Amino acid sequence: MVEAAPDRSRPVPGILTFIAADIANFILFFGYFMVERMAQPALFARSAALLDIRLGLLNTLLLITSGWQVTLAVEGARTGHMPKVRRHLLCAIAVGLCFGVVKGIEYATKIAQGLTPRTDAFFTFYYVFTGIHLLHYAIGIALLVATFVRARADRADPGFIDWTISCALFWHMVDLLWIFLFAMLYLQGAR
Amino acid sequence: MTCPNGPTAIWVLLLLATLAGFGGAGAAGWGFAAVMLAATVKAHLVVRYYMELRAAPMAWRLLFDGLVGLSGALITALHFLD
Amino acid sequence: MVAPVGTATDGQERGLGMTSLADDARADQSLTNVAIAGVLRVAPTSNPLRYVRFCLWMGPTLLILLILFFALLGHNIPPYSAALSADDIARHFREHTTSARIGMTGMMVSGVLYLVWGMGITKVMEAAERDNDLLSRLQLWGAGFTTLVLVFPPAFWLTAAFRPEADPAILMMLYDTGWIMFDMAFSLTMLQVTAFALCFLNDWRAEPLIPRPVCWFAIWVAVAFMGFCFLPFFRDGPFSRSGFFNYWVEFSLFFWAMLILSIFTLRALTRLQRDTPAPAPHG
Repeated sequence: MVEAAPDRSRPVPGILTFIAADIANFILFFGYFMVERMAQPALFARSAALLDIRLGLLNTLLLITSGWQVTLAVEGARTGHMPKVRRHLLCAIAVGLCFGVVKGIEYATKIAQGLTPRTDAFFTFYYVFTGIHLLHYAIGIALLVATFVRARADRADPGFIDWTISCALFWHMVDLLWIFLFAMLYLQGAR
Repeated sequence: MTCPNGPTAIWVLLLLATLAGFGGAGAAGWGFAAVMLAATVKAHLVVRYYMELRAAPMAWRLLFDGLVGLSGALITALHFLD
Repeated sequence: MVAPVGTATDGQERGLGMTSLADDARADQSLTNVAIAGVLRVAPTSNPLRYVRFCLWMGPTLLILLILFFALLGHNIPPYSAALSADDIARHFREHTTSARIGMTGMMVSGVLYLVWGMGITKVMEAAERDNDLLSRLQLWGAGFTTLVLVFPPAFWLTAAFRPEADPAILMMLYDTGWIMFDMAFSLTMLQVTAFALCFLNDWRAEPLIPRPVCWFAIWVAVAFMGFCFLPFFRDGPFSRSGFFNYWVEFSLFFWAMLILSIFTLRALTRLQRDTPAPAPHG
């Protein structure tokens, strides 16, 4: 119902400042990675080929799906339909947790293969960037769980709606950053 | 509860763009540019629809479109410089 | 406090019986002074924001002192790479013995201003707190412990500069210890800036004392500090202590946060002083 017409008068959530700064920080990461890559593109492509792109793809799909569930939960919060909020948040958290499991499997496999942050420049970036992203992810999951706990009440107060919108925005940022990390780290070959 | 033009449609679009981008895995040159284009379109959809920036004032939309565009353009441009 | 002094003199003159036209006028003046001085003496007005501006200005002051003592005299822009050999590190202490001694002494002496600054922020935060003073106190403890981070690491660098003829390996370990303590104690500053941000995000005013973007910037600084977790794993590259991300991005954020928090708390204080009605004397 709120989705029908964009309401430009609605105040912008303050967390967008944080998100913009964080994306800008990641743009520095992207730029630094790409500049380092220019020195040894073949090595970067060889190392990137060692990553399991199916796991990367699975994680992309998981985050996109989880983000979709969160948008539906926000829709529920706006209309005051609390069972809908709880249902979609639970889905979002469940799907979101799978991302962490897949990431854990991926790290464990890579380390078992002897591919660590010290292997080469590519894997240094791989572990640091995905590690920082994983930290954001963990914060995001914690925020979603906190929202779910708050959503157990029968009625949504105005504070709850703003809180849910802010947490959802953070979760979408995790999604957004992963989209670029996936393309840059997993899918990039060398000429 | 979901109308066909709502978040679900965006989700389907995102899935399609992900699979399209995945088709170019390991590509270089223009192939990778296509991958990055798909990624940038996905990020744009996330910003516009999931994050609801389409309903925000012009300055915020420009900022986030700029950040997304810069991310995609930076990676693509530096890829071609190697 | 000029009035009581002047009054005492006038009272003495009057006691001596020196009366003329001019003196009458002065006597009138002095009676007014007595009246004011009496009020001042009997019922001092309360000014809950006294000294706060001074405390807040200690932030920018410390920033300048740190740039001088820590960065310039300590040769820390950027620090020596952890990839250098012990002999290279030792050479620094042997070549720059005096400037390192002055710089580190200055840093240890001026570091306490961080606590003074944190106390000023606490007083501004108290004006935005509704339910309890938990966040302003957490902020103060965060600032207090960050003070220790400004005072203790230079002790290691000062020790190295104090005996530059020592074994290079020992000098290198002192240098490393100082830097690891300096960078890895980031959680203390995280606590400070997070408590600051949460407090002002919950400000009930229509126009908050601290703009929300500044609060979110502070939270972003706290999250970005987590990048220091990578420092122990790298001796070179962008995530080492002298690398692009750990030094130029994250470490410099500490100083940017000091500057930005100072500017906006000072502005908030100006607003508080303007909005506060003229202080009424206590009973």
